[in-house]
Amino acid sequence: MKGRRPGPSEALEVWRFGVVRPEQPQIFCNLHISQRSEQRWDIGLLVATSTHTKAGLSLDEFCASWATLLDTLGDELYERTRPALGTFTNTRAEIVGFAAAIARRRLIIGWRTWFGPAYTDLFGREWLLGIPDTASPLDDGGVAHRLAGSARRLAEADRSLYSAVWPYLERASIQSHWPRPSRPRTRLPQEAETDHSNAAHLERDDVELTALRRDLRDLLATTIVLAGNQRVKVLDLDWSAFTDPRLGSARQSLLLHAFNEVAEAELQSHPDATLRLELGQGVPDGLRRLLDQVVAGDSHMSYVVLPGHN
Amino acid sequence: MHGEDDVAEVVQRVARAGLRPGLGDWTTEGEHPEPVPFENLPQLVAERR
Repeated sequence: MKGRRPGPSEALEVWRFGVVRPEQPQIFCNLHISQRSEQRWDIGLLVATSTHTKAGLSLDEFCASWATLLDTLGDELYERTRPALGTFTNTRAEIVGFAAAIARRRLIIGWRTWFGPAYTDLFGREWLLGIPDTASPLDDGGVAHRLAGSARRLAEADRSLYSAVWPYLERASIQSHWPRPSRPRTRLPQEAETDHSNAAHLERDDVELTALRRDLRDLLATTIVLAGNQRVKVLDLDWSAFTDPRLGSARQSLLLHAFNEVAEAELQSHPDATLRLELGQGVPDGLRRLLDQVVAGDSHMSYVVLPGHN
Repeated sequence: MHGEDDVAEVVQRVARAGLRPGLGDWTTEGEHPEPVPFENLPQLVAERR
């Protein structure tokens, strides 16, 4: 196993505990704390909704008491641990892979979500503050987000909790890791009907971002394989578009998401390889800082800005 | 987060919020983990390494 790259879901060390709420000891609850690398940890608390009947509680009673407790605990743990992201959601029995997704800075929006500075740097604080239904700034530069629907709807995994969120993600051309998209991207005809000017802007933005997504996919599909199991992807783009006040942040997010997805797939297929992203000169400083965060702590990923052509 | 002391502090915060880490597990007979006294939580963390 020497030299093998630890998978994003593997841990160096794990602490697991059964956890009891004394007034409702029949509710199944587990706490796990995992160290995945020197700097990377995750904390998970699993509460089995289905055990509410064993405690003699109605689903409404269960939701009311646990939602309040976990909401408060989320604030407490955020303050203590300052994570990249904290969330409180209902995954049912689905394997979601939050640890790997957060390591790759994929977007996750739960019923309650705490976005740390690592996420505000990537997605933009203003953009995160604009996610429906409500969001508020945190004192460390992060953002706390809440969906408006009830905890009962969360317990029932009601996807309409996110009804206001989907159009917001679509407008930014961002696909969330959680909630999982359930349908292909669609235009927003009702908006176009009510506001032609706004719709024209949206359409133009959408066309531009869709074209960039296609270009990124095409460029990143090519891999140069060098000696020593090095794999290289090259991106040489018009970087001035990445500082444009209207779509610059969206373009940067798209690039990072595209690189993350490609890197994840590439390193899963070639676990002993290293992956280097080579960028043409002129990469904006903001994008370089975001890339620094993406590759930090992962010795198998790096990026470099190539010297200019004379 | 850096090591066991941080883990112990997180576990204590969880306990203070009303969720008590315990010994044992849930069974189909209705048994559940036995909450560990608050002052013994650092020891519990050390034993779970």
